[in-house]
Amino acid sequence: MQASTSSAGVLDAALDRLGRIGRFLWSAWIGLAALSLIAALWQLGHEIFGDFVLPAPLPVIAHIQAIVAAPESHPVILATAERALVGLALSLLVGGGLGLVIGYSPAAIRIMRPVVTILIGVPPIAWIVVVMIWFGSTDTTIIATVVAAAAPLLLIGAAEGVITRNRGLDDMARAFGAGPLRRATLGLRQAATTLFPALMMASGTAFKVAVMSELLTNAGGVGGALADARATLDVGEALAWVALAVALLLLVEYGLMHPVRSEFERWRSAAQPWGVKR
Amino acid sequence: MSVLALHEIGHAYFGRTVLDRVSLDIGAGECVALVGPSGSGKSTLLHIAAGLLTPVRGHVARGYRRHAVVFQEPRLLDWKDARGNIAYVLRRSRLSSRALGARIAAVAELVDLTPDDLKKFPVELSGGMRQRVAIARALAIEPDFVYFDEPFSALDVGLRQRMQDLALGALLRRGAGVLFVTHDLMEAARIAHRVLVLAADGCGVAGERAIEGAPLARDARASFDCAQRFLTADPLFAHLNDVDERRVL
Repeated sequence: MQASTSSAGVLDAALDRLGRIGRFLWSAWIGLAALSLIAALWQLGHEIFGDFVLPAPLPVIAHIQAIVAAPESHPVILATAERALVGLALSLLVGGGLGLVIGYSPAAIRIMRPVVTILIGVPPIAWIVVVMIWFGSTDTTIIATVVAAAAPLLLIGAAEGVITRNRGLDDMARAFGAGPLRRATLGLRQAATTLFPALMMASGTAFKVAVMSELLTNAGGVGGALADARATLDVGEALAWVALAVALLLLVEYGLMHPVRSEFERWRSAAQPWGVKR
Repeated sequence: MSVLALHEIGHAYFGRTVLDRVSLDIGAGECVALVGPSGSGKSTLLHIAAGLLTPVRGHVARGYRRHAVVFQEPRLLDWKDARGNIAYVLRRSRLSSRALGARIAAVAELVDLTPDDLKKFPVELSGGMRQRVAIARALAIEPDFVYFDEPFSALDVGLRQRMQDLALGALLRRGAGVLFVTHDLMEAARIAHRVLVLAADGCGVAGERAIEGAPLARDARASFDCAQRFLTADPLFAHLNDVDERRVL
């Protein structure tokens, strides 16, 4: 009896997961529709402004195919992806971790708020100049710039999540004998609500800043390829590289972050009306 | 033999005294209702007794093994389904997964939750069902003392009575002690062995009255009459609704 109910439970869970994966993949059509819309506007721009200013989407797609097919461009793309992702991971570790700790301390929040405002206010380009003097044209320069730009966002996201947590749950957990560590995991779990949007923003920032600082420091990667395209005034090539950088971001966001987030926030989708879900 | 003894408890929020020299004793298997005007510090006293607040003065002696709390709101974890919410408080008891399943099924049945309800997230449950999950969660750890902080005030009358029977019946049968905070004298008259009245300014317990008959065995008529007698003839309860009147003015 017990065994049969538990195996039915496993089957239920498997079906539920399959359904959710199916829904997620099905939603790709909407993404495709949005991309087609952008392509249509792009085509319109091309027909108005001409080939030199804005090449048509189809030749650029051919460019992208050529870049992806060429083995020598793979390390270029991978370099940018690695720098952005390492920077993002460090930002999450430093900014997110610090934010969680700060969220629990009202005094620390008051001190950190102006500091964070200043950090966000400093343009990434200023960091690039300073960091380049420190580290030269290396991976470290790019990663440090990414961290400087992305960590404050994650710090705010994490701290805000802990601050706005439901304190009633802390009391509940304490009433049932949970120690400080288990109560902290409760706060961490609730911080996910604000941490995920911050993480999406930070991942966009990470890729943007990585490409920009590569371009400015001449450190290779997609930014370096963009600099070459600029030097030869090849707009098609430049657009192809930009599209690739965006594609990388989309890959990280929809391949990694959205699935993790929907796993974390399954209860939220349970509350959504049918029409919003699909 | 008392399982909970509060001795000369005093508490203040930012210098504003809310409780002063409050003492009370609850025996094993006893259900004590704590009533008082709004703002008299009932909930604060319960939080102190349950160890969620440290009192400024006085001390608390607890003679029971394990307590549970049912709060005014359900206080469920949004991200866990009903089963997960009940399992959350059982993690410390290190049950095997089979024993855990059996325990959850047993308490769910006690508060009339179906296996299907257990799979739902709190957002998918109605207010009354959420509170039932909270009650099941409290019963799941097999407490020998339970604190109730106006747990049924959001429920309608019929459901409230059913919840009283379900939650308190199971506890009193097992001989657990109960401290029940409420502002509803009818409810107190129905469920308690004894009613304690907190003074309006929080300065001590104004007095107490034993109620005839066994808790939950009294019918609606008897508890209504008892509550009416308290309110109209007993000077102890004269100020029970005072604060509300002042608020209206």
